[in-house]
Amino acid sequence: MLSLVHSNDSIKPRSEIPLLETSDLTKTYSIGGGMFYEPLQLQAVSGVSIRVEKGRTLGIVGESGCGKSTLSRMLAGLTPPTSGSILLDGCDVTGLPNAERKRVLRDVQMVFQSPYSSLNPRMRVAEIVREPLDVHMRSLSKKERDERALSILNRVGISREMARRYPHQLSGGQQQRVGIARALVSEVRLVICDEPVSALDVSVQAQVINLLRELQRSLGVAYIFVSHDLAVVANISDDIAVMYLGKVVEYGRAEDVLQRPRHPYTQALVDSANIPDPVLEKSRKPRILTGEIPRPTDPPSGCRFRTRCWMAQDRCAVEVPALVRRGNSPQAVACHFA
Amino acid sequence: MGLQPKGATVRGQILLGKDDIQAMAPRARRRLNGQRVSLISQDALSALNPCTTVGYQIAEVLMVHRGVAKQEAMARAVELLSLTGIPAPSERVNHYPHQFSGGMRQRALIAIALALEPELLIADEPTTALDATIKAQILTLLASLRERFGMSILLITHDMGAVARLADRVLVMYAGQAMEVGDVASVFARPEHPYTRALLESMPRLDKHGALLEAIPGTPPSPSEVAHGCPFQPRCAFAGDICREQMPPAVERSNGGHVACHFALREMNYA
Repeated sequence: MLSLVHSNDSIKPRSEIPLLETSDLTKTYSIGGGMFYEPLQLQAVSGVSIRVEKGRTLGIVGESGCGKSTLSRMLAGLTPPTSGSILLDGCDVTGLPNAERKRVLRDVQMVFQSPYSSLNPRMRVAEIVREPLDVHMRSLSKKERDERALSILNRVGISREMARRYPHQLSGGQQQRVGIARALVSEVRLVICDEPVSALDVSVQAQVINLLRELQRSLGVAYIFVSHDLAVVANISDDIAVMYLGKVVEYGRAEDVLQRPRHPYTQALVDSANIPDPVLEKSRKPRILTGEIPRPTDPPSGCRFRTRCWMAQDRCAVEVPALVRRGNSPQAVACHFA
Repeated sequence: MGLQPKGATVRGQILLGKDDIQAMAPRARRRLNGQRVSLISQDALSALNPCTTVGYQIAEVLMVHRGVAKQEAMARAVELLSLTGIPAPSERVNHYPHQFSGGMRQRALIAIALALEPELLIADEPTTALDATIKAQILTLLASLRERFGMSILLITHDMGAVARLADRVLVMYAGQAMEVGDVASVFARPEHPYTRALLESMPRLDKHGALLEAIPGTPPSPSEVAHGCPFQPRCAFAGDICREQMPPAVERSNGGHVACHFALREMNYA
C-alpha cells in the first residue's frame, strides 16, 4: 500500500514533499461487547493512502458509512488513527507527543457540516473567529488579534456590524462563512472541509463554494473537501478520491475520474448524479446499482463492492483488489477488471 | 392532502378531476386520501409507526379503506413490498421500521402510498435524505411505477436534476409565490424568470465541472419578512423600481407556460 501512492504519478503537480500525505491509514472501532460476547470490530477507514499538494484541493466523495468523516477527523488530529501514518511536510504527526502534535496541527483547520452547532452560541462572531489566535498566537496583542479576526471576517463577507452579533442571529450561509473565517484566521495551510455546504440552501451553496475557491486563490491554502455530492466535489477539486466502505476505490485527477471513471462504483456514482438538462436526463440510461451498502461491521470478503457490482466474479470474493494504475488508466483503481 | 394546521387560511380551489376537494366534507375528504391521492414524505422514519410492523402498516390501508380481511391484506402487503423492490419481502413484511435501511423505508412508504392505486402520488422531497446511488434507485422506481399504474406524480424538490429526470412540467416557486411554470424542456433550456435562470446556473453540474458558479446573492427570506412587490426582487440582478412596488402578474412564456416577472427574459435577451 505504502509504495503505491509513491509510484502513482497521476497526482500532479509533484513537489518533493507534499503538504500532507497518509499511508495505510486505518481506524478501527470496537463497538458493543460485554460479558458474553465479543465486541464488533468496525473498520471505518481501511488502508487509505492519499496526498495533498500545497494550494490544491483533494475531494473525497462517498456515501454514508464510507469512512470519509472518520478520515477527515483523523487528518485534523481529532481522532487518533489505529495504524498508518500522517505526514505533514514529511514529518509524521501520529508519533508526536501531544503538545508537539498540537503545535504542528495548528496548520490544519477544519470546517464542519453543521454551521450552527459548530459555533459557540454564547460567543460573539468576532470572538469565535479570534479564539484560534488567542490559543495559538499569544505573541500578538489583543488589538492585533481583533484586527486580524475582523479582517478575515471582512474577506468572507461578514461586516463589522455583523461581527458583533451572536451565531443565532445569522443565516445558515453567514454562519458557514464564520466557520470558514475561523479556520483561516491563523496561518493555516490546509483546511479540511467536511460537508461544508450540505446543510445550506441550494441558492446559498454556490456562494460558499465560490468563496472557498476565491480564498484558495488568494491565500494559497490547500483543501480536503469531503462530500457525498459528486457534483459539488467535482466543482472544487483538483484531485478526487472515491471511497466505499472505508477504502479508496478510485483516485486520480478530477477530470480523469469524472470523465473516464474506471471503477464500477465510480461509474454508478457518476451515473446517479442527475444533470439539470431534461433532454439529456430522459434519454440516458443510468447504471443503477442494486442493493444497498453493506454493514461496515461485516464488510464483504475480497472486494468490498462486489455485492453490488455487475462485473463481480469468483475472484472478487477472495482477492482484495489493490489500488493501482491499471492498463493505460491515468488514475489508480481498486478493481480486478478496470 | 388537507393536512395544513388549524388556523391556516386556504383560499382558491383544488380540483381533483372534476371534484372540488375544498368543498368536501371532512369524512369524504379523508376517504380520498390514500384512495385517490397519497403522499410520501422526506423523512420516512418519522412517517412510519415505529411500534407496528411495516407489513401491517401497508395492510392497514387496505383494511380501513377497502375492508379487506387481515390475512388477505398482509398477502397484498408482501406483493407491494416486492413491487417496490424490497428483497425477501415475505420476511421483511414482519419487520419493524428500525430494521429497515433509509432506502428501504422510503420504499416501504411508497408501498403504503400505492396500496390503493391512487391517481396522484405527492412525493415531497422523496430522495433528499438518501445517498446518491439509492436516490437513483428511488427515482427509477417512481418512474417505473408511474408507467405501471398510470398515475400522476407531483414531485416536490429542490433538486433540479431530479426534476429534469422525472418531470414533464415544472413549477418554480419562491417565498410562496409561483415564479415560472411550463414544460420542463423549455423552462430548463430557456428560463424566462431571473430566479429560474439563477437557480439553474448556481447548481454545480457534473458535465461542467470546474466552472465557477453563478451564485445568487443574499439568502431566501423567512416567510414572515417577504419583501414588498416581487419576493425575489432583493436578490435579483434585473430588478427595477416597479419590482419593489408591485408583484408582477403571470404572463405567457414565449414557449408556453407562464412567468411572473416584469422583466421576463425573452428570447432576444439571450442573444
